[in-house]
Amino acid sequence: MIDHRRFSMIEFTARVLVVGAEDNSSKNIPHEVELDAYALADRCVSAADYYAFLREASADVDPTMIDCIDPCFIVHHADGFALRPGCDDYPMIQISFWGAAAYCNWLSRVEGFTPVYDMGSREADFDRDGYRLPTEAEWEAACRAGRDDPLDPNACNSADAGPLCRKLRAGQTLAGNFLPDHPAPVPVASLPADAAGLYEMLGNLREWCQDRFAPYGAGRQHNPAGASRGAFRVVRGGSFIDAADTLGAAHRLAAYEDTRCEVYGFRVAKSR
Amino acid sequence: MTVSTPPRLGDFPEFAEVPPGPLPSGGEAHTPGFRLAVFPITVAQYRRYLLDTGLDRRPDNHLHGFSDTAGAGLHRTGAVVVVEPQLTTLPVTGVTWHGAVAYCAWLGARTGVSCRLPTAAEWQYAAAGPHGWRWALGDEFDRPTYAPPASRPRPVDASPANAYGLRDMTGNVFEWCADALTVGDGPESTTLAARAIKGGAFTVRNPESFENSTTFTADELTSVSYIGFRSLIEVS
Repeated sequence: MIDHRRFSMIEFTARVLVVGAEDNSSKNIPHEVELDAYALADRCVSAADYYAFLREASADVDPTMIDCIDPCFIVHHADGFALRPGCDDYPMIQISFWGAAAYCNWLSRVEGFTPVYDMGSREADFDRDGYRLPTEAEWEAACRAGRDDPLDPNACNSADAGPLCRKLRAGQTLAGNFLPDHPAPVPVASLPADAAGLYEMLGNLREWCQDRFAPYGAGRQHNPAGASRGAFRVVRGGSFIDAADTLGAAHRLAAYEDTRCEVYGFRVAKSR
Repeated sequence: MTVSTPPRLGDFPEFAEVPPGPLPSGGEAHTPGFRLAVFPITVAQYRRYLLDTGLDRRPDNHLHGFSDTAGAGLHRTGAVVVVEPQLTTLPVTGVTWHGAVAYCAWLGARTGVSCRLPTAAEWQYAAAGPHGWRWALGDEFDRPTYAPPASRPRPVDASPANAYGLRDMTGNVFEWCADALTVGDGPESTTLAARAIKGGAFTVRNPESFENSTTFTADELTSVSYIGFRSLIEVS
């Protein structure tokens, strides 16, 4: 690990796999996908990780990318953003898709890569070498690589999480003004890693993916990156408010890209 | 023919009468009625407070934070708070809960009345009007009126009045209320440094977030472009 971030990147080799599921939904048709090699963060970006960006690149931050009403781990005072006490290791929440993209750009600059996102035109250039959000196919391939079946309710922060998992939730210490006995996130990497070394892929937070949401087609695709138009993005993995039986590697949801909500977070990815 | 004069957006807020009645806080709670500011406190009105108290030359982080760049109606140039003349009818934002309380105390002393922030129950009672509506102007969520797409506040007079003459209750910016966030009951309870906010804002989207009965909270030192406030005068 390095100073400015508290997560590691896990390498995934090029692969071909079937994504989607036979779930009676025409939006989710199983089809073959070919992926080039990529890396995916082992855990979601934490509030402390994100705060480093806010502190060091405040000129790049549009304050409305982040919602600072409760519950939240980062607040905004008269002198700027502040990390609430005891909140460092909770995942960054209440950020829009573009709030996540802005972090990726900052991380790219810090580590000497070329930023992927043009924040003005709201375009992404995947030929650039910087950090970005994972495509949903990359996310799904990583999740399938590490999948533990069936879900252990004490190791997955779903709506029906077991007592050991619930003890870790933010509400137990009132972190971020989450309230006791309400569903809430657990700290990043506080539950056991999966077989691929990834933490909290299923449950905890719905994770922003790169793709604009669209129903799947049936044909084989190479490095799919979603629809070319639209304001809804794919979110993956489900969250602390989603029932365990809805969580799975293939389960997809759409979220309006400017939504800032306590059930959405993100982890970063990078092409190799 | 009677011509109704729209409320004047002057340096001091105009107030509307809210009649006595049962408060939505449950039990026997009842209000003797009160007067509530017709609009959220505007940039012009808060500017008047800053000038009157000298805070324009020594802004206080406990009370308010103003950006270095223009766009919200008030911004900082060096240590001085500067007004943007074209934007004086925006709701004042960047004011903390403490700043909102201090403004009410100043206004009360300045005008010889008992002035404070409404409680969340008083705010809801006033917003819901005599029919107890879900949103300020009815039981249907009227998105173009309450929540057109926006990335910043709009002038406070952009939407019509409810039956009590109150405007801009639903949408535009959240409004600070008096109530602290309390967890648990009785001697076991904990009070957090967070206060109720009501009415929804340009930053939220779900109709439920704008409902009169919905209460969010925010850290009481929060200074953001999506929280404002309005003042209440108690009946004597």
